[in-house]
Amino acid sequence: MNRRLTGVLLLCALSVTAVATTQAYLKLGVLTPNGVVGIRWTRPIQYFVTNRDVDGVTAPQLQATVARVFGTWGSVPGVALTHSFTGFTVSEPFVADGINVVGFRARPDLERTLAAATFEIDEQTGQIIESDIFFNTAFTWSVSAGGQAPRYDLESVGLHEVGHLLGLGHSGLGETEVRPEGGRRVLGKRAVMFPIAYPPGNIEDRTLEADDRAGIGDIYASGVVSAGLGAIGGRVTLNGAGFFGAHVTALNTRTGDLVGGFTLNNNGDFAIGHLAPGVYVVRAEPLDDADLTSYFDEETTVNINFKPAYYSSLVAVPRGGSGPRIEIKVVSK
Amino acid sequence: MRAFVGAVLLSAGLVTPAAAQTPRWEFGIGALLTGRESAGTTNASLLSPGGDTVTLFRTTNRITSGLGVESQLSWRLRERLRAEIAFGWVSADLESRVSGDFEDVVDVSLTQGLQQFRGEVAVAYRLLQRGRWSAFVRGGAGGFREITTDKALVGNGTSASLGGVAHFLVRQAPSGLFGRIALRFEARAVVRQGGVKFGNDGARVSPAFVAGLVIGR
Repeated sequence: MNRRLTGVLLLCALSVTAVATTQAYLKLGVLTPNGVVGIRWTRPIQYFVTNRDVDGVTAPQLQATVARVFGTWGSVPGVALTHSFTGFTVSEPFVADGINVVGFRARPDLERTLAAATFEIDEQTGQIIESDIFFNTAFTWSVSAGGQAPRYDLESVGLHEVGHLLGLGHSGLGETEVRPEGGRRVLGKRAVMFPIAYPPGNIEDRTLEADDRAGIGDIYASGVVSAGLGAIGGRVTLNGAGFFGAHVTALNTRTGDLVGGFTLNNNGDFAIGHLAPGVYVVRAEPLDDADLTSYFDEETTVNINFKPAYYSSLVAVPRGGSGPRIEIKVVSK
Repeated sequence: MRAFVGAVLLSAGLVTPAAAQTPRWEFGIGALLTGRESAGTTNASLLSPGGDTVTLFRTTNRITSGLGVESQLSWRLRERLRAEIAFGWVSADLESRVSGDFEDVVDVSLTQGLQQFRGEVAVAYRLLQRGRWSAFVRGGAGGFREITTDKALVGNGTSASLGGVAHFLVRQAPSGLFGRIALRFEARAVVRQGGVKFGNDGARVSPAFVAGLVIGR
C-alpha cells in the first residue's frame, strides 16, 4: 500500500510553517505494524526537471545544478546511489503522477518556505516510490559560482532538498535566535539538513558536513564501509525517566566532527550511527532552535523544558559496533 | 616498605671493591610514573552566516599522568655499553576539559580510563661511576598499545625516549645467581605518536620516571 505524504519537509528562509511530517530522525521513517522503518530508495532514482526558465535560472541550469547535487550526495564514501536525469518535462512537482519531478513553482502563500520535498512511500517496506522537489519562485534564485545576494543559492537549497528526497530528515545542529518581526535567524549551523537556510547569497551549504555524511551513510552505505564505523547508543533521562525529542550531539575529539541524533521514544532512547571510531564528548540539549513541527508530527509531545548537559564520561566508539549504553541525566530548567 | 629499607641497610655492608665490575646481565622491576601529555584542543563549532565560527563548547584534551610497572632485562655489550629491553604497563586517563558552553553549562572534566602497554629496545652507556653510584645515559625506541578501560578502542603507536639512569649498588656478592642487587632510578623524556584516536594527531612529549630494584650478575 502506498501513501502520499504532501508538504513533508520544507526548507525555510526564516522559520518553518506547520506541516504534517513522518516520524523524523536523521533518517525519515514510516510507522509500520512492525515498528518504524526507515525510508529509502531501493531502485535507481530517475528524475525529470521542469522545462521552464525563471528569473535568474534557466531550465538547463536547474538541471545541471540538480545533477551536481546528486553527485555531491553520491560522493560520500561508501554511499552507492544510482540516479539519472530522464529529461525535461511540463509536469509540475507535487503532483502524484508517478514520476520524480524537480522544478520551480509559484507558492506565494508559503511566504517563508524556500523549497520542499514530498514523497510517496510503500508503507509496508519504507521504499520510496516517488518524490518531487519544488523551489518557491516567491524568492529569487541564483546559480552564480560565488553566490549572488540577495538571491538564494539554488545549489545549497537543492542539496538540502535532495537530502530529503533520499530519506533524510532535519538535523538539529544549529543555533538560531527569534527575530522581533517573526521567524528565526541562523546564528550558526553545522549541517546542510538544518531546517533553516543561510541568508541569500551564502553558499556554505554546498558542502556536506559530518552530520549529513553520517545520515546518508547510515541509509545507503555498503556493509563494508559501515563495518568500519561505530555508534553511540543510550538514553536521556529527566528525574530518572526517559522522554521524547531530546537532541543529542557527539563531538569527535580528534576531528572536531559533530553528529547529532534524537531520543525517539518515551524511554528516551537514542542512537547515533555511522561515526568514525574515536573518543567523543556527548551532550544533550532541548530541541529549541527551530519549530518542532519541522522535526516531528504535530501530535508528538517533545520536552524542551530541561537544561543542556554532558554525559559524565568520554565515550569510546569502537570500529564496527558501539560501546556500553550511556545515560545522560538532565535536570529541568 | 619497612622490610625493604631494612634489607638495603643490611646488605650495604656486603659491598666490595668488586662493585666497579659491570654485570653481565641484569633484570629490573620497578614503579613507572608517566607524565601528563597534552592532546590539544578541539572545538564543537558551528558556521555563522558570515563565515565565522560559533563555538558550542571547547575541549582541552590530555592524557593524565599514569602509574604502572616496568621491567627491564639488560646485558653487557661492552664494558660501558649495555643493551636493554623493557616492558611496561600504565594506567592513565583520557581527559577532556569542557568549557565555554554556548548555553552556559558549567565547565566539566570528562574522562575515560586507558591502559597502556609499552615495549622498548634501548642502549645505555655508562658515563661515570663513583663508589656505589653509577650513571648512564639511555636512549630507546619501541611501540605501545593503548586500550580504553571499556575495551571499546584499541590503538597502536610508536615511541622514542632519551634519559638518564642511576644505579645505587646495594649488594655485590662474589657468586650466586642474584649476586648483585642495585636500586635503579631513571628519568626520561618520551615522544609518542599514535595510540587511541584522541585529541590532536601530533607527537606527544612527556616525562617518565622509574624507580625499582635490579638484580644481576
